[in-house]
Amino acid sequence: MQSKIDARAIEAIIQSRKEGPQPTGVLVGKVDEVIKPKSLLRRTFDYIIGEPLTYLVNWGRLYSLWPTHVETACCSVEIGASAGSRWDIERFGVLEAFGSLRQCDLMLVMGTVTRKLAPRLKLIWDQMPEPKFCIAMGACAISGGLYEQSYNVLQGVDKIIPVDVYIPGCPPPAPAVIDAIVKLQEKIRCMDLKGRVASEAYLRLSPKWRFR
Amino acid sequence: MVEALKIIKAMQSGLRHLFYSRVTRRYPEVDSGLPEGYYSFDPKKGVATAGWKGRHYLEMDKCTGCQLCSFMCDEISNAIIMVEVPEVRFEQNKKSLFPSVDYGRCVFCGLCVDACPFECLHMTPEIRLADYDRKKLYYSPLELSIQPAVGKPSYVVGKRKERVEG
Repeated sequence: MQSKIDARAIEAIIQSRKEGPQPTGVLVGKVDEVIKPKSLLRRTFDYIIGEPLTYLVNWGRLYSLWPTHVETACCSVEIGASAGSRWDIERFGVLEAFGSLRQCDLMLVMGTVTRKLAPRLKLIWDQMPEPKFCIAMGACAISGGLYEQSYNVLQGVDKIIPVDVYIPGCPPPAPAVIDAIVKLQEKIRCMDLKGRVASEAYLRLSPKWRFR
Repeated sequence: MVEALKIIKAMQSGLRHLFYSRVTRRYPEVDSGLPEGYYSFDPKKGVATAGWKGRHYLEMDKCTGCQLCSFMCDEISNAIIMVEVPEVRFEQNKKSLFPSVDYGRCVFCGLCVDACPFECLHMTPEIRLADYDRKKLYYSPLELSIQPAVGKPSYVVGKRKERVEG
């Protein structure tokens, strides 16, 4: 598994492509507004009260991601594995089973969503309180997967609900699920007090430029 | 007497768990500890070796652009699309056609690796492919030809990172 091409040359080509004209980024989830320059008073207020409070609230949101499981296919087996003792997702605050929709933050869509299930999925999503996040797990939930152009299967859950993190795989193994949850926590760290998630371009900024 | 013995037995079975070694793997901080090795197929012998089926690794200097991987994938999940890479020119690939993979559709079956007659398409143990954006799941041939850093934990849990990976 050794290639003769220099990896640095390839990365240089990719970089040169990125610097060219890019399509304007389509934002996933809750879209942020245009960042306006703030006044001095507002900035000092944010520095003294706003930022510590945001940090505290986000810290609370981070480690209590109570999920609703929409288990329709074999991906739920992998969630069972990752909730087991070997890969314990309860370390990150994600419970394996929870009763009420009204107290949930996270929606885990695992598996194929048929056209009959789609309105029910939207109903579940609407019953959850803000702020709420969605993880699409597996090829079927992301794009339809093997059921491409099927008359009965929804071609990706992002057609009806906003998806925060996509996990590719069929089904994705337990470490991939853990990685997705860590990525979602990284996204929550960048959240506003109002529950707005920053755009992806904003996420890629270094933390010293966030929320100033 | 029998009752007391029962209580002692119950205590014993509970206390025994104190001395068990830990089962949980502290994954994102420490390496996952899973066996390494990747799925590969030798077309001359017709033998496949078992292993991880993760992200693809493309050797661009061997690929001839024969589109056999793409034809194979058409019947499975239609994830591989041949694209032209004008920056790279090779003698064996005059049109510079290379496979690009949409990981939103890929089911990691490994049939594209079986179909490749030149042994230029491999699968790697890299399974950390989750992303915020659907468009980031399309991997161009140039991105596929970079070897993933497998085994190194990429996250520091509980601390702010300088930059989000993507």
